[in-house]
Amino acid sequence: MVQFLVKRIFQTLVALWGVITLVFIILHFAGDPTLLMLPESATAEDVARLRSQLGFDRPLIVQYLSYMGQLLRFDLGTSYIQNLPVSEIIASRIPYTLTLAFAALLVAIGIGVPVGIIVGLNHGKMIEKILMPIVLIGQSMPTFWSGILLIMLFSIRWGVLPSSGADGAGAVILPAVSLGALSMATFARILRTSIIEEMDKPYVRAARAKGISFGKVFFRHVFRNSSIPLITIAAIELATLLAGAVIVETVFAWPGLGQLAVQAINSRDFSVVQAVVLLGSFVYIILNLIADLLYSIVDPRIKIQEKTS
Amino acid sequence: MNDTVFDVQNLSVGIDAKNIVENIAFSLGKGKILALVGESGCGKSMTALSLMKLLPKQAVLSADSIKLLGKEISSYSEKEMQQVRGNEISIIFQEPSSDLDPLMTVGKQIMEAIQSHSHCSAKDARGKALSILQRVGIPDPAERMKQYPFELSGGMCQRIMIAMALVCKPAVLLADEPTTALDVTIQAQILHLIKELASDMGTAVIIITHDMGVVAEIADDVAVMYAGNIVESGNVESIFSHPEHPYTRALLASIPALSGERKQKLNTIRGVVPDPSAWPKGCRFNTRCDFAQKECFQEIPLLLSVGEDNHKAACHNCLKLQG
Repeated sequence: MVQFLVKRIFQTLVALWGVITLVFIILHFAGDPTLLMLPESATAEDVARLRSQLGFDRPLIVQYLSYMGQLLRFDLGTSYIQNLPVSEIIASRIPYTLTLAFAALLVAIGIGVPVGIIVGLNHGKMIEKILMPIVLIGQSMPTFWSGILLIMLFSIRWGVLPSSGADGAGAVILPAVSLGALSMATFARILRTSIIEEMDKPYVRAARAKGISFGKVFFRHVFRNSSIPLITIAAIELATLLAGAVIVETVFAWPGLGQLAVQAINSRDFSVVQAVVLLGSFVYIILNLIADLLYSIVDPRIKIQEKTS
Repeated sequence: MNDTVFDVQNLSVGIDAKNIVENIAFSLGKGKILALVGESGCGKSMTALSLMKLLPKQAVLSADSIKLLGKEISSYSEKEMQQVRGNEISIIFQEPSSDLDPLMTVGKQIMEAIQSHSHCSAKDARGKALSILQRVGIPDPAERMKQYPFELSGGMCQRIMIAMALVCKPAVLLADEPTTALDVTIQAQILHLIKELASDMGTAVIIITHDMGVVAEIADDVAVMYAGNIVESGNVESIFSHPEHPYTRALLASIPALSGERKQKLNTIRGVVPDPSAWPKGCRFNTRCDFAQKECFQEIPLLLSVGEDNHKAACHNCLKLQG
């Protein structure tokens, strides 16, 4: 177990280093922000002065090493544009992104799991034929479109929910539904397939032969076995939600990390962009690690394989 | 027979309005072992599942009567069947390793069977589970209780399945090819275990098999099935000593002999069991029978008495021989 964790943490660090390097290179080839930061009337000397002030005139490798040095001291740097520590900017956005991500996950699981169970248990029946297309629509609807649709209905026509911003508890509902619809469809589909597969396994028949009711057979045996694949899906979905729902946050003017990333990219605020990407990849990797650990808790067969490997 | 625990009359199973099992009838006394024998595809397993009322959705059961301990269970609802399954009639299957939930310890799975039929505390259920595990010959049962199915061998899993099936002391145990997936040495152990427990607990057993060796080993009575019908039935001695139906004779002839000429070719029955959709007119064995005559292609032979001790066979030729 310890060996497994050490190995995984090492892999995590390597992956993060790769992500940082890649983002650093891409951003710096995309141009520097000095021109955007100065008024149009600025002279070439002004630009050059600002460049040297911010250190953009140094060779790329020097900039890279100094950035890495900063990161090793857990210093995310300063935003050139907002003139604030990046960590402070990020920290102010995290609660919003967390709220939205968990609200969306709640929508996804709250609807996706029951729908998955219903269609899985009614495979080949009318109700499956009705529900599955709806699920597919949920999955194939782009969020910018579903978001606008929701705003049109709930904010403009009926005026029951706010269309943008993050004031009050109601404000999270529309972005969460819009964002959760995608994951909801994934949960429903995966669970459906998994249930159909598990229902055919001999242990289901054997459990019924013991004289326990179908409900108990389903929830104690079939559902537990079917939900194993959901662990990975949930981790990936949550990571995606946390890494910043760029489109949804933009459509709903939700002040989370996704919106921050868009603003930072537009203004070439390097250190902020890098920090957001870094955080996103970190969350992704950590959630995957948690999913792997959860597997070994839920499925006893996996623990042994670790021991022997 | 006053000690009849299980009596089945005219049982049929149909899929898509086509019968795959027809006119099955037998009666089973307390502690007796009946072997249901036949090739793959003759409807043995469907018969077993139908007795538990656990047929797949598309299969339909019909029967004049299925009497278990004097109760007519053919008309029982699913809810009523839940009281009966695992309690008065149990079943074990061919692949014990996949009959257990992979995510639950075997102890919990046995306790689940106990607690679904008696309102006892977890502690009492655990005690019962431990004692039945001991009973089926599992060493260190307390330790085994905590293990998962994948940590146990096939033979061990089948012992667990037997323990689970017998823990509520059912009147009838159905064993659907219980030893087919096991090593030969384990097969004998499991058979002896079933036989021993059945006689100790007074449980009647229906063992489904295609292995005449298994039949000779443990059965009291035999019913030979072919293409969805019972073609011959009787006690094990009369079936083995003077089989009447050509199919039974062929089955017995195909057991390899341990003595005699080594290079002798194994006897086989030519052809295969016809699919239910292609059952021939008349006697269903007529496509493979060496003795088939005109009559055999026209009329279905009835299962009629051909000797003492309830020995019956369904063959036009046997009747003729009897005169």
